[in-house]
Amino acid sequence: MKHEIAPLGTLLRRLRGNAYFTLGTLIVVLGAVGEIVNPGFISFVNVGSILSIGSILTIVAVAQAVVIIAGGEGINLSMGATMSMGALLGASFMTQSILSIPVAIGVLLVAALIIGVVSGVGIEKFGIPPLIMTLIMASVISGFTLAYTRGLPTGQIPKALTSIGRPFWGPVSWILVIAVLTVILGSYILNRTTHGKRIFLVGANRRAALLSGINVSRNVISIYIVSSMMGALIGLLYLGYVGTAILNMANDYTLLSVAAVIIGGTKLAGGQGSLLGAALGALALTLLTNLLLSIGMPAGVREFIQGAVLLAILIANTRGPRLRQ
Amino acid sequence: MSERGFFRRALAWPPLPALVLTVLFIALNRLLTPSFWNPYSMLGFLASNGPVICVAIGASIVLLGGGVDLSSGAVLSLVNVVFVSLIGMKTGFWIAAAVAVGAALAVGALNGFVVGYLRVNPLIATFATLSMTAGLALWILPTPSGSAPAGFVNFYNGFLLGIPTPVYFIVLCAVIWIVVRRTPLGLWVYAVGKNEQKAFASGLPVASTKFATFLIGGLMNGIAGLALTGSVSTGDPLIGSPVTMSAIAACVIGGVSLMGGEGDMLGAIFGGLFLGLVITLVLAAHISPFYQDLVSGLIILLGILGATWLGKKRRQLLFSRQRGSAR
Repeated sequence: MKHEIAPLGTLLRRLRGNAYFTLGTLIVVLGAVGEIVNPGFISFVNVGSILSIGSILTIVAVAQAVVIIAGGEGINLSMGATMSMGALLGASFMTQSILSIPVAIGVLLVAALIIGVVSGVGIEKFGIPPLIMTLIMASVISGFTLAYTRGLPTGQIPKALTSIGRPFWGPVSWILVIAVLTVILGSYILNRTTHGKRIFLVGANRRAALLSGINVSRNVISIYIVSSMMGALIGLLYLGYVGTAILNMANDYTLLSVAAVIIGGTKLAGGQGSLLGAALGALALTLLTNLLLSIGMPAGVREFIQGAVLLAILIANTRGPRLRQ
Repeated sequence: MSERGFFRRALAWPPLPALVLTVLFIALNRLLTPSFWNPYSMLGFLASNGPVICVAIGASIVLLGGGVDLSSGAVLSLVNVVFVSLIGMKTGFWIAAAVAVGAALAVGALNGFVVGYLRVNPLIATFATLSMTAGLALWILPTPSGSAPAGFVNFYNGFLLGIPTPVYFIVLCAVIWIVVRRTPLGLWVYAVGKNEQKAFASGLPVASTKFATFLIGGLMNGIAGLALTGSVSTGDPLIGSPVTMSAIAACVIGGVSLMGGEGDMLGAIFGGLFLGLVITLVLAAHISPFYQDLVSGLIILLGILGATWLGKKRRQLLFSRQRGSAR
């Protein structure tokens, strides 16, 4: 038997549907265009700042991806509200001392546990579609944040937290380190452990998972808990990055995280996807925003172009199969 | 026998929980604010909630066809800024209104094309068009400014033949819905929403049907955008954004299934009324402004939990009765 090397055409056709390839190309092209229209775009400093802000979106995308992979129309639309709560509630529990950070983390984990349990139970036990359940939870969470902090959190943010987005070695900042570790650890858990395999099975075929003795409800509820906890803690990181707590500061991240996950090759139907793809998607989206910002485009045009590029990626990468098949 | 038939028919009716909730909250509002029945406070209530109800009627068609439209709020903003900007340029009322509704139709057509013919997931596709539409609105009018013609504002916030004008906007959307429902397209929408593969196998034009649902949804977004402009009377590029979520929530409370193919327009109307009544009640109860969002959020959460629970019970009851009669 002779192994034939695939002809170039076949190779290209295979690559076209590959999210990594599309995103990799997009990232390189965006970087090149950025450097042409705005020299210094791929300088150390700018790349560092892109990686820092992109890291936030990357971790949010990971938290979003596990929910989507677990299937059953799963999606967490309270992500932005949970992050905002993490930032504001966290800020009101912190003082200048670094020791106040664990206190804030503890409070946030308890709050996120409640959010995750309520969302998960509503979805699994009451049968409310995740889209609606997490949407309503978003307004409850925002309402709680407003009620608790009265819109102006007291307390101070420790120096250790505010320096999190600043590069300490080349373009590397602590937040980038955290993002990389999250993606590696998350991918390991998803792809190499029984727990991760179970999540993929639940997402791919709920009934099969149920028949093979997996407690599907408990798995799904625990995923919403993990996702909420991650969301709240990312809120704390985002607070450190931004430096001040503002009401609803992270609400944009809800749909941005979904977009990053989907253009990263994860199927909204569940049971398929990768965290690395989500990270690349997050990087591409951040790069695009940063590029448009650096040209000094008005906010409206920027948003329009972002939407158009996202739509183009979706049309290129995520078209459903023909009904005939 | 016929009485049992009536009960069964009532139970089988998806909007029932929303109707119960609406009646309950009208009673609660009446109890808390005796002047709630007063025609002028009714007018105020309908004027501020009319746009959401119109969008909900459009969203119900999209949901019935198995889609979802996240862009509707941004479309309302776009209609608002296009209309107000054209009026500011001394364009005639009807031309400005037609162009504004045309913009809504264009976004609806784009959504329908991408979701129907190109088969992109509606949730994420309409998120992309949401971003485009919101950007366009912000491009046309970067900061809130301008105003709608006073005649139109007075018309919208007034009475026509003794009935609050916002009712006519809602009725217009409802009539379009009923007309569509009576055509073959109405049946196709339900069939495609229920099971796309089977609908295709039965020879239905699946892609065109989806396209049509988004186009009709776009038309209703346009009508809602004009109503919203009448209600707020100014131009604001962000004015519509909260409407999307309210409209979808209204549909779900009203028994319209997010999976498609189940529910009807009355459910969307009752759901929209319920959401408005909750806000009115929370405002009337003199709760501290800091707690208003939390309380209304919790009530809506309980409403959805209750509506889904009732819906589940309803289905179980129907199922057992059907089995009973078959025996």
